Amino acid sequence: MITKSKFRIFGNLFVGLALLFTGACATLTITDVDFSEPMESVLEVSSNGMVQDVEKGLKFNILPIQQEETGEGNRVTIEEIRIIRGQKGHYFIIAPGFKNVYVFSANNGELVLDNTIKIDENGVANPAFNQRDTYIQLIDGTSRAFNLTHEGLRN
Amino acid sequence: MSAIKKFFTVLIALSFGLSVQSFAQFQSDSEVKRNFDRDIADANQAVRTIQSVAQADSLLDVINNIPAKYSDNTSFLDRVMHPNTVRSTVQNLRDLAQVTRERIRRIEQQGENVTVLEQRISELSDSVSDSNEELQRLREQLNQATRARNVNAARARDFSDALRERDEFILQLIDSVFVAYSRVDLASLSAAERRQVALELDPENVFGHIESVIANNVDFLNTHTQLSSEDFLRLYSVQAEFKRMWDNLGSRLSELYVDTDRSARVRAISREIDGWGSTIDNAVWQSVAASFSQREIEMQSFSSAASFNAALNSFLNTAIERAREGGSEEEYARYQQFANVWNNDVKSSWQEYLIDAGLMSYRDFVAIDQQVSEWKVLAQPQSYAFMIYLGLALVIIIVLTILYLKEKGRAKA
Repeated sequence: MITKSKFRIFGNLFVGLALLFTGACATLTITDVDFSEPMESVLEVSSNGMVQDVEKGLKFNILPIQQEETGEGNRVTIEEIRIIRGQKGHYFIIAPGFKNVYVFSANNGELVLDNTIKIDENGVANPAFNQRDTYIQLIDGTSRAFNLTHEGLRN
Repeated sequence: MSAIKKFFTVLIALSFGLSVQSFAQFQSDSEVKRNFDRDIADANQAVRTIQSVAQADSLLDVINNIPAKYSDNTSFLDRVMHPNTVRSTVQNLRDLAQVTRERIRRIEQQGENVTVLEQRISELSDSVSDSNEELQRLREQLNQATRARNVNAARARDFSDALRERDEFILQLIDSVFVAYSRVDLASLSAAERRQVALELDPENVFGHIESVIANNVDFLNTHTQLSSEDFLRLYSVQAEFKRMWDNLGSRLSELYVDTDRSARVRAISREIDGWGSTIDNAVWQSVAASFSQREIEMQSFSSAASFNAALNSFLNTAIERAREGGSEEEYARYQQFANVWNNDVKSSWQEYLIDAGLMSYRDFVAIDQQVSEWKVLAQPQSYAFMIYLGLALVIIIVLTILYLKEKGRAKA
């Protein structure tokens, strides 16, 4: 038999727990963050495929990207990669000879592929990234320049 | 024509689409940064290897052009190099180059001072050598004339003039050495810079001339033993001036010449100057003693300034004591003999050099002058008139006494 007073106690306890639960799940969001790095990093690839940017504190294995690009995932075939972080926080990665630029976002200890941007079917021989105001510029050592966002080639 | 060319250029550019640009070849930002870093590193390296002010100036031109070279990328470079900027990086480099330029300029200036000094020393040293040869020639002529018992006064005067001229050259040489080295501001130089200045100096030129001056003087003294006391004293004052200069300069050169051999040579020159001093010291006192003995003034033997002063005082004290017992013609003649040497030689000809060389002071001369004056008063013989008056008085007294006695006898009778 639930008395009126017991009902009131349970009612208060329920409201308290609900408030507590609601407060614990609230998220703090900071908007308009500019993640852009002023300059690309040129990272050497170790024999086991690891690349490390000591200055920026970034370290990962390049073999999955190499496999995606060339189909070779067991042994390292590239010597260096170029990487730059865009304004929205995406990482743009390319290596000499790649046909594509790989766009990753950082998430919980992972780099998750967001987009693969096709640049040249024959591969880009001497790629280099430049940070621009709202996009990443990819140049290839010739007179060509490609303006990139995480969504693809910019119109 | 150019309008058509421009039109086609724009058309071709548009043909690549909006995402592909085909203006001038694009440049990688990281390449720009690498080029900038290389330019700065090259300039830094160049600063370290600058060897002349001219090199420093051309490097400063290169440094000053760096901001213009990267003017299109200044904002990017400032961001990449934060907290540094292109301006601060170039300014630091410019400051370093200017400091280096100033240091080299100072070293070059010191080197120029030394070069001027060396030229001056060389010229004066040649003049001293010429003067020595002239002296030797005149001395031989004088000796021949003396042997022929036909002393040529004009030749003797020429010799004396040439000797004085030679001494003036040496004193000018000393002044040049002293003034030039005074300009070498060693205190403002680091040990490494001192070594650099020392490398600029030609040790044979600097040390060689100084050593040759000393050797020439010692040689001159050994071969010209018959000079007058005045000549010897003048040479003594030259040596004293040279020693004063070297006492100042030698320590500065020791600081400059960190090299062991050169330091040893500086010490060796100090010893040579002391040896020169001993030689001239012996010659001077022998000559001065001879000057007194030739005039038959017998003084205690002396071989230094102190013993000369003591001998003079002793001689005068003895003379004064003797004169106190009574002046006489003989005593007065002795006084005149001494006063002649003292006034005509010592005071009129030697005093200047004795004081310049630090052998005697003005106070010494005043003290001796007082003794000489006292001796003069005491040495004078008593006057003949006084003796005559005294004799006449005695005669009168005797005459009066005889007259008085006669008168008294007559009265008794």
